[in-house]
Amino acid sequence: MESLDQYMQLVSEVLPSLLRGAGITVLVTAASLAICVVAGVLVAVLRLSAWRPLRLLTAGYVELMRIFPVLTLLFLLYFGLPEFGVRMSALQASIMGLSIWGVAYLSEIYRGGIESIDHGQMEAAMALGMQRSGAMRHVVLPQSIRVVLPALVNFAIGLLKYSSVASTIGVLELMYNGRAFGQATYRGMEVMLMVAAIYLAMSLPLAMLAGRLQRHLGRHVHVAAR
Amino acid sequence: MERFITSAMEWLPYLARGLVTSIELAGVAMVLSLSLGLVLAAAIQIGGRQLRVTARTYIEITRGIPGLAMLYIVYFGLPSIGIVIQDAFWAAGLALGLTGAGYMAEIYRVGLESPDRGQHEASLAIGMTRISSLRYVILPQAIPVIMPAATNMALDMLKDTTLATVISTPELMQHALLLITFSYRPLEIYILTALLYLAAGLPLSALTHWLARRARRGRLMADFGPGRPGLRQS
Amino acid sequence: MAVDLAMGLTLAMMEGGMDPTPGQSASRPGLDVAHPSTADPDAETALLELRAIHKRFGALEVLRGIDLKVQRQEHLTIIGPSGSGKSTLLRVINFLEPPTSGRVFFRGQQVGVRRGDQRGRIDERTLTQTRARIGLVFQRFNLFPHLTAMGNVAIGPRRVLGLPRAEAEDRALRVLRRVGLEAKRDVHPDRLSGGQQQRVAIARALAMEPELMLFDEPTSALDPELVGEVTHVMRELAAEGMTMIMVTHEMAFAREVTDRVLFMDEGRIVEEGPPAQVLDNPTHPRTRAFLRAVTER
Repeated sequence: MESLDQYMQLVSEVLPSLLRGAGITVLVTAASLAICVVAGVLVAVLRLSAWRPLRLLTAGYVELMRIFPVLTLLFLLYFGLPEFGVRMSALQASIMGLSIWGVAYLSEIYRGGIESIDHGQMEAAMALGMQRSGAMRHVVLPQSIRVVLPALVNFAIGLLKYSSVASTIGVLELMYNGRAFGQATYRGMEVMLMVAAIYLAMSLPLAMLAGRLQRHLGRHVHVAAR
Repeated sequence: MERFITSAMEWLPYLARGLVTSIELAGVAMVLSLSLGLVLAAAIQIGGRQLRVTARTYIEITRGIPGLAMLYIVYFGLPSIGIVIQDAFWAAGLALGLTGAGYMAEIYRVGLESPDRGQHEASLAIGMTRISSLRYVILPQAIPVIMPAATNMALDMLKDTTLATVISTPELMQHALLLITFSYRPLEIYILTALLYLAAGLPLSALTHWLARRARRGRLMADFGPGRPGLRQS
Repeated sequence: MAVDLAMGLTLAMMEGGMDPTPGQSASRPGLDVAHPSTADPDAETALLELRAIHKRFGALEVLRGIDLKVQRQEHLTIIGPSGSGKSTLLRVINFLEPPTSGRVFFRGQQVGVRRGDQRGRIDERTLTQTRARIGLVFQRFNLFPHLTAMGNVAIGPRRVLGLPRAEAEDRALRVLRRVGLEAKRDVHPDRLSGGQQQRVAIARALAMEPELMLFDEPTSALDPELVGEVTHVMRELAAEGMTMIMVTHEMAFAREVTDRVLFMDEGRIVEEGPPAQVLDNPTHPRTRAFLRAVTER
């Protein structure tokens, strides 16, 4: 290792580019997150549908995404699809790939949240005269949101980390810039440590938020016994 | 379609070799994660303050950075401070294992906390030491909970072996990429690759589901659950 | 494991009639009789003594000065409103909750304190030895779900007392027979009714051959028709001469079996005496109010 001065010199050279990359990382993450949050609801609803074929199809998709590596998915979208005439930018492919994976993952979180609420809650609501949909809206969903929120934040952290895979298909985000500058300056370790620090600066506050949410919201929920 | 099948036959052996390496890589990383994770969990449960803080810091950091970062740090970064790992395979195994250890530590923790407090109290009440309680009452109930989570972790580990391609580890993804540079047929090769990952991952996933179902049934053996005979619903 | 064996030896010694309490040490040659002990001559006659017990959970004071002596073969019932500290009191006795201040003596020895330790530090091994001599039956049974009824009852003798497997299972079978559940020995708790589970829990405690049995609202979690099978076992135990302290709401049962009733409120013993007195002719207004509320159905 070298002296602090030399290190600070490196930092001042490299940091701006790294931060620019971090901006792209945030873009990719945020775009995917937005898609996942919304589409995840749709998939969760389909997963719980009364129509069996739809249920199975959705379950199959979710299961597929459990097993399929995200990197392979990205490569498939970016390098494989052009053979069908579908061309997209690396950025688009990344967001699409992350979303395809993320929607499946998040829909399971949503489903778990809904199913974790004690059935007695639904029964009590219906005993008061509410219909299923009303009971869902006013009793079950509000409680499941409290359960889901911390998991959602953790999911966002996961997306943030997975966005680094986009570097493998050439998206100029944080990891890509880090690798490039690390090689260019022959100081891979120092640059990577900076990269790691920036990721931590983004993920740790989210992790703390998730913890806080878990503690505060975990209380006023009636979860099924075990 | 026929063209695909004939080509697939040609490609399969090479790709399968890559898959074997992927599986080996995942295995090596899991061994490291399982053991280091155990050490971390133990440090947090029974260690002194310094040990606890060190372990928690390690877990927070390794869970806060992407696996790729860890990979680059191990492979490119360590040489800067004198530690050189020649073989990309072992560098990848180390990096993946170090990251996975943090997750395993959390899994161990959740597993150990799954039996309710009354279980520990009941074992103390008949005169067991804390160690006996852990050994005969808590662990037997924790393990069915830990196992599906651990196999799920193994599945994730297999998926993460794809990251090792960036440091040219000869796993499945790497072989696929090399094959593409020769054959110029990316889509078919990626589909075949995907099928191979599915073939490897499905058994693991099925195992995880089965273990989770078993654990859930076992958990319902606890004193309370809806509709148990003779129990007043409190 | 070595710890369990050592404890098994100690307990085997005690069971074999070699009672290592200070009162007898004078008769044993070679022992330093003048060595200061943590025993108190006053406490020797009572099996259990609580002195000035205070228990605080953070800002909440749950026990505000409890003094109590329990003799061998005595049957004590504790009643009182929720939050009065009844359960906490039981749990203080076997140190599941250590008292904030005050001392607990069992068989003349301060609970959890190694003999001769002047500073009164709590030693885990000594504590576990005492716990093995005191049985605690929980409101929610706390049976071990991964073991059968036999497994639950035998695990104490096997892993705490260090008995070999065959002997432990023998003893377990005898105790299960005593509570009427020999037929269910290979059944897991999840297949047993509440009353059966609680009886197994009682058997598990009895298998340790305790000198004192504590019951923390043993029937409160049971359907009414299953209460009887548990109180039946408790009645038999009482008739056999077991020293028992029961926290319960079953007033009729308490009246039948008990020698002394304690009424607790807000962390203090408000009134105590024979059941006829406390339950039928309470002197303290709070006792009267409580009893009136309880009998109003």
